[in-house]
Amino acid sequence: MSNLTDSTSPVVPGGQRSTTPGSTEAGRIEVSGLTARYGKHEAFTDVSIAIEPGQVTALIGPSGCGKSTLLRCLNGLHMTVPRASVTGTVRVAGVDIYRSDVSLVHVSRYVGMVFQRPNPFPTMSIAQNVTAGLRFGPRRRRRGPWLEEVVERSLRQAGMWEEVKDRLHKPGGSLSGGQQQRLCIARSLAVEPHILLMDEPCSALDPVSTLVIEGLITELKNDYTFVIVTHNMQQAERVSDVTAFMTVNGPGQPGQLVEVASTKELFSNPSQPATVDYVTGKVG
Amino acid sequence: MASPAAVSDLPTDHLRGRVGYADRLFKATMFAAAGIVLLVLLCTAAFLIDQGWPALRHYGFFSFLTSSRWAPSDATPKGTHPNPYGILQFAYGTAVTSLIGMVIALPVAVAVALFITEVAPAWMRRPLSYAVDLLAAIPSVVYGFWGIFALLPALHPIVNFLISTLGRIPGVGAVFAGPFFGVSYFAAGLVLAIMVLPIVTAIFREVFATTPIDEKEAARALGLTRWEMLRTALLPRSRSGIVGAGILGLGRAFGETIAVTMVIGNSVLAITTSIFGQGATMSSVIANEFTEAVEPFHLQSLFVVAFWLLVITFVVNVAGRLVVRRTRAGLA
Repeated sequence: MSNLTDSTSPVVPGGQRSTTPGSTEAGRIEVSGLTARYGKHEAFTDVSIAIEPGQVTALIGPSGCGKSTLLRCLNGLHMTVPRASVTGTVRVAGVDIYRSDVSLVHVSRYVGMVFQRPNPFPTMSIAQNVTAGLRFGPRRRRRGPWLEEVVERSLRQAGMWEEVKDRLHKPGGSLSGGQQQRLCIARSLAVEPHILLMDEPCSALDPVSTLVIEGLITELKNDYTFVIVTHNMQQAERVSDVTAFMTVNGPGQPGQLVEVASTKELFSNPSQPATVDYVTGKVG
Repeated sequence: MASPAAVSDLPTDHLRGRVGYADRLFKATMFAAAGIVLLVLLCTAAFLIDQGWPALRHYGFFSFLTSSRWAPSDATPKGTHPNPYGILQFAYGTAVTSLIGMVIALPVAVAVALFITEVAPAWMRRPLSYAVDLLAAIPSVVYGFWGIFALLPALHPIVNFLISTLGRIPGVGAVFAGPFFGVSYFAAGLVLAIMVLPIVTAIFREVFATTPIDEKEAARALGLTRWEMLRTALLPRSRSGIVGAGILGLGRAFGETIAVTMVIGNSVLAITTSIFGQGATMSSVIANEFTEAVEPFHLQSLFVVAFWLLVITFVVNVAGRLVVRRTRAGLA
């Protein structure tokens, strides 16, 4: 039985994650034959890809190719859109997350997500933002020192503890854009996920903040499985180990996964003509 | 090309020209429109004071607020003390009925608005909004009529149960004491709750719809359930909107007249402690008595009631705005 179907959640309250991160099946994602739809419109069809733990997988491709939708299928967020549906399977740690007896609430505790625009909760302080995912559920009764430890640990992981430790009770919105995004990363890490999805996490940030976030990803990738959607091919080259290239034939057409390869190979020696065109800048 | 002589032909020349009269006229019209609103408010207050002036001068400006006994038949052309036109019980009735109405309406409105904006399936949202909005289209006299013949009979068993339970609690029991004859503060409060529900729900709907999807998805991505997501991302940032809607609803409840007059019992002689007892509100006494105000200073005293109603409503609205501003400042 995997942790995912265990209703007590994959995280032991106050303890470490119940499996060794990054080294086992725990952080593995296996997508096979996946088609995602919004109503009748197919965002992409028949995508199969295995995402390995302990490394960073980048999803690149032109706008509309379905890469963000693919990312949102990995934690079930896709299903919160009205009339959205999927066929095929997404196995996270060996469990098909779209099986009827799997709760997407548990899945999203297991698979964290950071969004394009920094989105801290505006009414909450920095500390409250970090613990926002812990206020409810089986962990809600834990207060006091444990919660403070979580705040410190998560903010340290996000590389911003020293910057904010003296103003933990200031509103999260008072931080700079880059800090807000790192706060969002800390907020995701506080729930102790195994996998972290990032949807163009730097596209709203300046170059310096972008480098800080990229450094953070490299630092954390041994402990988490990272999947990052990016428009920025240099970023994919800098930060990822494996790159998946998706494309789309025209507006309204479903996106397709063209090629998955180690980042070095995909950028230096792509096997598909469409990939060549994209990475050399002929299109997109 | 650009010789000094050609300076006046520079393309920037038109910047010095006058903006057309249309824009100025537009501006003036807008100022006038805003001014008229203020003017109407001031004129109304002045008119009420003017009409009530004989009574105010005869009994003293604040003497109306020191008594809770309204007994026009005691009034004589000469006697000034005690003031037979005490209005505290009306202020009390207005406050209590509005409070009951808001206590019932606010949670229901929040729930209905949350359901419409967040929970209901997409095809159901629009028709449901219309249905709630339609509640506002029912004339208030119809609500009163319905109150008398449908609500009051239905209330008897419920209220008698409350009287025999809550009414026995030492201390607060007096607030829930019997006997219950149907017409009461409580019945009026219930009718008010239904009447303010549509406007308050409509505002809540707008407020909730402004929550960025980013924040809702952030909450979902943290593994929060739908209810936890609403409590994390949606309700906290809606605080100022909820308060604002509450104030608007309260203003509506303060002013509502006919439906309340029909179900409150119109007892004008004292404050009734129990919410199941009969009373009157500031607006109901005016509606009830202005056609037959024949005693000395009777009609003038009704104008005084109207004046104080205006003052109270104004104060509540200003206080509400201040609260909204403060909670909104916390958000920014």
